[in-house]
Amino acid sequence: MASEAPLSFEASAFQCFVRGLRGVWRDEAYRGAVEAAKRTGSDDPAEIERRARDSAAYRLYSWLERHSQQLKYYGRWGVVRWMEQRKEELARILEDAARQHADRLILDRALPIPDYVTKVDTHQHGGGLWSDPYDAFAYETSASAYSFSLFNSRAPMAVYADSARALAPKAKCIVDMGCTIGGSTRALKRAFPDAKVTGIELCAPPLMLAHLRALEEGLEIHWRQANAEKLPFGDGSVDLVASHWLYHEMPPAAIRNSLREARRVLKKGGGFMAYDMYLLSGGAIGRWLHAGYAARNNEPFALSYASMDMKAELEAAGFAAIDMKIAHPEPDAAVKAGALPACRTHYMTMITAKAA
Amino acid sequence: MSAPAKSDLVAELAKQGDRDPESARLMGMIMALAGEVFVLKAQVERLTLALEAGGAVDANRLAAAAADEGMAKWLEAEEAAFSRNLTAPYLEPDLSVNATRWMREK
Repeated sequence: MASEAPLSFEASAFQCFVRGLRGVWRDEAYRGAVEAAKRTGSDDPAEIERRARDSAAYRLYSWLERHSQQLKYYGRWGVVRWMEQRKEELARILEDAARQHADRLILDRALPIPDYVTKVDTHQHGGGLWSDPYDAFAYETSASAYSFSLFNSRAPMAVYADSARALAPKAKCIVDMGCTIGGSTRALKRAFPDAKVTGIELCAPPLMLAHLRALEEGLEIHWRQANAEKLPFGDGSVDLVASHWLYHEMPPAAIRNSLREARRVLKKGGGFMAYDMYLLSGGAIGRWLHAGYAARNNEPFALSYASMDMKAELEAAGFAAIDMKIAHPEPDAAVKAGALPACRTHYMTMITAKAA
Repeated sequence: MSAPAKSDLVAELAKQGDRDPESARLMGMIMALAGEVFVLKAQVERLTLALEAGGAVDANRLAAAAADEGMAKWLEAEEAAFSRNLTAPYLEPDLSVNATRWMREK
């Protein structure tokens, strides 16, 4: 079965070009924007935004943040443009995979997709992951090559699996919420080979691609199209509920629903993990940078998630033993003390808790 | 005049497409051009490596290729594609929706 969707030589070269632009965004433009922000002398992110916007470095930084992503997807050799040309072939690959071990893939074509998914063009990906099969391949290619801030996109998966092992070493039933193309779910299955691992995801195309990739790796993983706000599992039936890069794409009300659902399905003492951008570095300037990223890369809930009091939210949902720390990349001593990092960095926070 | 409240950050960020649309469009054209140049350089490098390895490159062969009918057809097709892609960011400077209104969700 030919399931790869490799880029053409030209498309690969074009992605090198975009990655080079990202390097300028992460390094020189970022440092110039931070200097402009410091010159404002303000600790109010809104005032920093107003007063720094005439800085050439900040204008370049914000242009690159918005438009390098559009180039990555929609430039002449962007990944969506490339996948569009093969859309029928790629849809067929997913349909063929769905017929293999069909009992492991449960799709619900009537599942309502919330407007916070359909209206936002998350990551500036028009149509997102919910509308067309080839978009799942575009997302996979985009996400697997390099993250927005250019760190190795595979490294966070290792942290995810290690944290799961530490939190719930004897877990037999594991749910990975918002699993998209299943990279995090496969990491969990490798860490817990004897457990029943189920990835749930709102959108059918990435779930079908997740199924295909698990088949290719020989992993027995179950996939269900479902909403994290309404988990398709019985009360007290799960040992570990995990999510990877999910909550920054959900509005606060939906996150609260998801926390309640996670608690409902967990056994008492069961583990909860949320791995996402939550703790911010660098005070007011860090918050200004994070808000700008949320606005410019169409990840609007990244700001509202970082503004939530997750400890209080988890306690209200019935969790205890709550812990949260920046888990990847490892911050240096200066960043831990409140300074900004030397280059633009999207730190991942690991939040863990136990069902009380 | 008193400083606006901190909650105005979203309002400030929502103006992202309005600040200097002309320079944003021109920047888009420049980057589209730069992308073309980058890919072209990669193609030339690939071709050069292949031809050198086969001992196929010399002045006479290059002159003959320049006069070839295939080269003329390529130029005709490419001039349209190149111009369209170069000017597209000026005509459509921002392909994504402005999602900042969602940042006010509570």
